[in-house]
Amino acid sequence: MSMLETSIIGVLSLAVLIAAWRVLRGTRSWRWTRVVGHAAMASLLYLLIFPPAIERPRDIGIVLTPGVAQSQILKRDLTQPILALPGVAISDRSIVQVPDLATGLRQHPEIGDLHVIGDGLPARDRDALGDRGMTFTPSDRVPGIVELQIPHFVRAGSIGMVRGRVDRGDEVQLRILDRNGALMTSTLTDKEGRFELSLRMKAAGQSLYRLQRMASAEKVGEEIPIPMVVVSGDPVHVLILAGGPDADLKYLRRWIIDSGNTVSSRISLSPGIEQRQNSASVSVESLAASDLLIVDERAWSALSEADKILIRAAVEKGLGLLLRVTAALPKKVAADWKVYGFDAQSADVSQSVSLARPIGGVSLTRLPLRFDGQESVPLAVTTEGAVLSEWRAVAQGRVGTWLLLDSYRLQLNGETSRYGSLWSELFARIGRARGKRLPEMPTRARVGERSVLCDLKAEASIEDRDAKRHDLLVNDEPGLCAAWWPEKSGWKTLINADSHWPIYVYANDVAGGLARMKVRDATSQRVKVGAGPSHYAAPMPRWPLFLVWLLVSAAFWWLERPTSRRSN
Amino acid sequence: MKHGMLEKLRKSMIRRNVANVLLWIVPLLAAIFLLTRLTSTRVVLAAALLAIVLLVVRLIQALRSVDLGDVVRKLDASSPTLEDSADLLLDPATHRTPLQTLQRERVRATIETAAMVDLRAAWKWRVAFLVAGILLSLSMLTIFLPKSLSLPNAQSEVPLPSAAQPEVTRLSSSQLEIKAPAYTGLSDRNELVLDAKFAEGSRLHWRLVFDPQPTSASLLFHDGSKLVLRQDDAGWIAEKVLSESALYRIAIESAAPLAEDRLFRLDAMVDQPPEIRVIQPDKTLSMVELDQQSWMLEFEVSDDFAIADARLAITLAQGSGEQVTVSERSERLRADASTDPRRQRYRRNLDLASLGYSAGDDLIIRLIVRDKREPSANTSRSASYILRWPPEMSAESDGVEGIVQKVLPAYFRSQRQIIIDSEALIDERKTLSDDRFLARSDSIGVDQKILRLRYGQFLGEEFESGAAEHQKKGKDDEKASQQDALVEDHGHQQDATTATTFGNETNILAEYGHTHDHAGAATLLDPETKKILKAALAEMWQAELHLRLGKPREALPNENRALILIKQVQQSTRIYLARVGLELPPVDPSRRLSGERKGVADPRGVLVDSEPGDKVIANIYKQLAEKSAVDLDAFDAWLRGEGAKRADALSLIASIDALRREPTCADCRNHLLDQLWQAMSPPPVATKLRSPPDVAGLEYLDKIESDVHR
Repeated sequence: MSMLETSIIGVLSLAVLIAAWRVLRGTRSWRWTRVVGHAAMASLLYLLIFPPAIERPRDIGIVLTPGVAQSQILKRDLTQPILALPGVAISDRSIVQVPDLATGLRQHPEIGDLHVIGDGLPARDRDALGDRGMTFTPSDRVPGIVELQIPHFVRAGSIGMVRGRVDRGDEVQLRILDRNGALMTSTLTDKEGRFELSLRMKAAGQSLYRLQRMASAEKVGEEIPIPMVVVSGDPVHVLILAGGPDADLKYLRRWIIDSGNTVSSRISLSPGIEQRQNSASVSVESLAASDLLIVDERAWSALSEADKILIRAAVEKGLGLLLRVTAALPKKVAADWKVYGFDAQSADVSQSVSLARPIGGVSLTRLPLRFDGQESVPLAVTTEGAVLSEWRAVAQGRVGTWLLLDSYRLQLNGETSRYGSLWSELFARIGRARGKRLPEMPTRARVGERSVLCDLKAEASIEDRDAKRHDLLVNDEPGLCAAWWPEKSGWKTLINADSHWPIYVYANDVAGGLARMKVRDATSQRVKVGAGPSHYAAPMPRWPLFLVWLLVSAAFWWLERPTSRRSN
Repeated sequence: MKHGMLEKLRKSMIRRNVANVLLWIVPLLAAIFLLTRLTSTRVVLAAALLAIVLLVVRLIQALRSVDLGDVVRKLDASSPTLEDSADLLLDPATHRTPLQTLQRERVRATIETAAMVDLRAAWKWRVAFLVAGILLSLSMLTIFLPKSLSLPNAQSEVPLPSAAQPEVTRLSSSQLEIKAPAYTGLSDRNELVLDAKFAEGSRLHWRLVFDPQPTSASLLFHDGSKLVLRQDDAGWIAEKVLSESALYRIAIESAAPLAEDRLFRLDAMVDQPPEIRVIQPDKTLSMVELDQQSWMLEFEVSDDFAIADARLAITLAQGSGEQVTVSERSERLRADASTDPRRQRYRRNLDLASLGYSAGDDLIIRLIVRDKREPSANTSRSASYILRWPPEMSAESDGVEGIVQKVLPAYFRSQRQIIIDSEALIDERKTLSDDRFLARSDSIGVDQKILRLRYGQFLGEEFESGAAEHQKKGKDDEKASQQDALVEDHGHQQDATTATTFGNETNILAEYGHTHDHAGAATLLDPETKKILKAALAEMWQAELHLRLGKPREALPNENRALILIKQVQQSTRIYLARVGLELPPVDPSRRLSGERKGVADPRGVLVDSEPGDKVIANIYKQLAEKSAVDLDAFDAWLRGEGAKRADALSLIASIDALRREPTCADCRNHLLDQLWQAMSPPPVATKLRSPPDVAGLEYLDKIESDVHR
């Protein structure tokens, strides 16, 4: 009950009481009838001011959203109430322009379920839907690029994939230019309009590429910035124990060092003679300091039982362990690895294989061996589906096997990126889990649109180019997310406690197709059939109440009128 | 109403006064125009402001100049008919006497009938226009005045404010004269900007004019060298011959710093070596055609400046197997008539017969072109083009050996032949007459001499001139007593088929041996071998002596020793080439298979990062792109030191300098970023480790493992 209502009740009650006191003090007849009459009149007046609510049936309302075609407007049912959101050109007077959906619905309580026509409801208006039912007739096709997936973070030197879809049937050429305008890669769309572009990343840092959809051979139809945040990766410390030098080992060690990781290695050359890089001993400290231990079967059989126990303990504490099989396994080694869950069996397979991922035409050699692993996950698979490498978890650590003999051939064939991808994936999967957690970035931050950042620390802020900071209000709930409405386009920096992450904000006028498609998809997801209440409570009309009040008042006026004429 | 008339008169008077003031705008404008001709803008502006203020004051005065009293006074003064009573018109009606009223009506009537009373002041345009005319004609005069007269006038104003201290030194004019080396044929150029491209080796001449004059000036080059500018009457000058690209800046000693202090860039255009295009032959190996008499060659040569000459190197390789004779010569080609020294066409028709080209020979040609670069010319060589005349199939190639020919060194056979001949002669001694015996012995001696001479060539000894004479003689007279060995050998060839196998071998000697040129081989022998060969020659001398004297029995030991020595030479010459490649340490046989490990140490791993330069550039790019603190000085130092080999080092240094001078300049930053981006190459793939599981996750993993083991 509002203040106004309370005070009006107070005033009316006071008036009734005073009137009753005056009537009862007087000597005229019909005294109690008149007291009751006053009370009745006051109650009726109250009802007139605050009419009671009654149930009413609801209508389906039409909501016109931007992108709606005139033909769609003309086809509508004229009996239905019609609302137009900003951005719709209104053609006739029956359409009500509203600033947003919530306002429109408040002004038109008779509207129940909605029929949305056009591109759909923007985020703000989707929240106004409540539990109403909604049907959606999307606008015609959206021209240009309507889907685009860009990885948020890519590792230095790796291949970043840009995938997307163009909403057009025939072949469209797409290409990516770098910041200097040099052509990096180009492709044609397939029958469904999908495309996939791969970009070899440079060193860590932020870089802005440009994706161009070609309208013709020379004319650019659409240009979308492609922000790439290249991260340097975690420096992995690898411990290598090998029974003898080989080419694969040589290239592996070279790659480890060149890619910013460190390696300690011990390669036996002859009994008692070893080639060492750093101090590669098996001890509690060295194993705890390493992220991955790569050992071949010869080195394994040379390990003492005490060493093996140390290794097992280290693996259970999170160390990664990879067995690089370079020849048939000695019985003892096979038995040891059966305990780790890898049961080695000789296999009658072709030794010449090519990798399914990363795809490369180079033919490699494998060992004719097979591990009947329990609950193991394949890591490297041939094009025929044979597993060359697999891993399984052992407590906090992971243990894997490797049957490929000459991965270095990739390197020799100039496929350095593929070689690196192959091994870096292995390192990432098997190595110790101590990577820096990357914050979850919004898919595509746009000026003026709500973006959500997750996995934040309590003190997070966004800094723009001129060093102006906006603190983010981080939600305590699991996920540690914060919402952000960017004001300007371009590169910003997310300062998440002590780490800095570049984040790119799209201007409002680029990638229109993507934005429209996003709204459309989000609206489609909210489609619900007639779930809202079919009736609504509206205040009853005032005129009957007024008539009643007038009649009653007139009657009592007649009763109260001066009776002097009668008495005189 | 009553004042209506008077009010109208007043307004017209005011209008005239205002108009008279406004008339003065014309002379004022003329005055300002004159001032612009003579003084600085500041003075003009001040004068204009003063004029406007004066005008406004005068206008206000003019607007307030006339009130009704003035009008009445003027009316009274202008017309006696009003009888000095015009002021009655101003009087309020209430206090009027009837007489006054009467008089007032009269005045009114008079004025109304007069109607055209003109009380306005006279136009004063004459004075104004006269002044304006004088001023305008004065300013016209200034146009025809020489500048020197009007300038000091202007300058007398300027130094006053600026005399205190000029803020910056301006480079009021700059001129860079580039004299390219004469051979390039480029004309001298005058550049007005200080960045330029020049042909390498050009003489650059700077002429700079500063305002105000510094006390000294110099050019600082990026490599630290300094070129001091000299002052002469036309500015500051310096001269330098540059052969490499360079960056430089102007350094002055003056109280005021330079207005534009940046790095200028000089790009050297390197004289490229000539380019050769071989039009004919179209392939590197062509086979001789049947009855081919000549070989047509055609080349097109282009150079960026001028071609000096073109030489054709002709190599004729004759023989096969180990007995290949190579003769080389080179000839200068004359270009086809062409006006463009940068593009020439050469044609040459080689006459095969005159070259001595025959079956089994390879004729190899290549074109060597030099341009006119100074001090050292650029030389280009074309690929080698071969004309091959395939050797005829060997007559003896009837078996499975195919075309493999048995080519054995002939000289051993010859020495042995001499021994065999000598022995045969000794055996036949009894049956032969003395003369005959001596003649036979002498002929063996000639053989021995030829053989000695041939070996002598290995030691660089001169071939005795007698041999050639003998050859001619031999041709004339087959029965010459001192037969030439060559002729003798040909003789052997003729009866080779009927002779012993040795004779057959000699045949080959004849065919391949004596045309072989050993002159070049003199240096191929090591001193040890030379010593043995010398000893062999000495033995041959002795043998020849005895043979010539008809004493083959005494010659025989010498002959045998010569044979043994020559055999040694043969063996030692087989390994005269040094072998290169993997050089393993010598195996210590005493330790082999003994299990002895003393002194064997672990080799240390020496893997280091292979591309540190890439990381430096990537790091700078990252810092710069994220706008964090950038250590440009360190990068600059790196570029001048380790990174100086990079092709883009100079432009990077220039961009860094630009950014350092203007740290807020977004374009400079972007430009540097663009260049760094270009310089970066994709690094090896980095690894991203998994992020650690949370507490619950860890517990889960540990539990699972203990469950498995239970």
